[in-house]
Amino acid sequence: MRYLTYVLGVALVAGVLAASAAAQTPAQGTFSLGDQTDATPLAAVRTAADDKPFPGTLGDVFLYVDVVNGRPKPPAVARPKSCTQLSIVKRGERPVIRVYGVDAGTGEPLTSANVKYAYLKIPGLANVKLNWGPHGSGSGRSFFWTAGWDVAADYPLGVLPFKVVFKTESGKFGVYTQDGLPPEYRLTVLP
Amino acid sequence: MKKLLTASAAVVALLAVGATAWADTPPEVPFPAPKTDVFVAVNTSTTAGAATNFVTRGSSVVFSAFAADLKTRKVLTDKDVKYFYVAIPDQPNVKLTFSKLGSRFLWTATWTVPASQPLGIVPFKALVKTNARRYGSFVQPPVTNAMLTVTG
Repeated sequence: MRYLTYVLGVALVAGVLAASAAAQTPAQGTFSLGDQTDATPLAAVRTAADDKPFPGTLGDVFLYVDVVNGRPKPPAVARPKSCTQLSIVKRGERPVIRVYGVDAGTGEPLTSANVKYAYLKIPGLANVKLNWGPHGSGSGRSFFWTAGWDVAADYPLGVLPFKVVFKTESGKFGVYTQDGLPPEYRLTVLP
Repeated sequence: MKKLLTASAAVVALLAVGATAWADTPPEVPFPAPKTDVFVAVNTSTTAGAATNFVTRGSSVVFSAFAADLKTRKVLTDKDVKYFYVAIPDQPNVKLTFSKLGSRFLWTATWTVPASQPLGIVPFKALVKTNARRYGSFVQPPVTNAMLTVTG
């Protein structure tokens, strides 16, 4: 009897813990782009988060993001070609984030006319404003958003979890992170 | 009278210069398009995952993509899509597959560059059609050094 009581008690505690974990698991369809729901409890064996598409399930603003190399300040040595895509940067180099996006409600591109603010958040640094401007040449010249920064000589090595944040004049937010992608796909700082 | 003529000529000249300057101002063309039904983003990387836009003949490039229906605000999964592929000139279409990468699902495809592939920029596109018959496409931002390029 005492053993049975003990087993029932353990089962009850396990049930309460499971219910608590389930309550913390985000419901499917309520993610926003770039959110940090990877912190889902491990107890949830297969949840909505497992099937979560990149970069999220629903969004008000969608962003294309890549990284290219900019011209670094001396004494850092510039790469042979500028503006080539990369995900690995060395200390002293100058990565440049390129972004364009659309407002899901209107289908229109994000421009300086409909964006209230846009910035790049890099751990340990002040936010870097994204600039709207022309790129490319000739008939292919197009406008999109860019922001660059110099990787300091003492910047921590490893994956650099940057974040791109947009707010539109109509109050919508777009956030892009590389969360959830394998480490080798994410921007990484090497010595 | 002479003064009046000089002044008039100056005004005409100024107007002409102004008109020329205005005509020379390039239009502000936002990327990707003035209006979109389905947003598509595609990145390229090596098979090891490092972002790159350079590839050699015989090696492979991985396309990773996502798309979103702007009417429903929903990121498209394999349940929403009729087709989604990468189109490369003079090559068979490269089908994108909805698969897990890290802890997320996104659309990926691998293209092995044939030995006969011309050197230079690969002007690939990605094209998607949803089950709701909405279309989207991706083209690379027009910056030569950042576009997918076969180097040798």
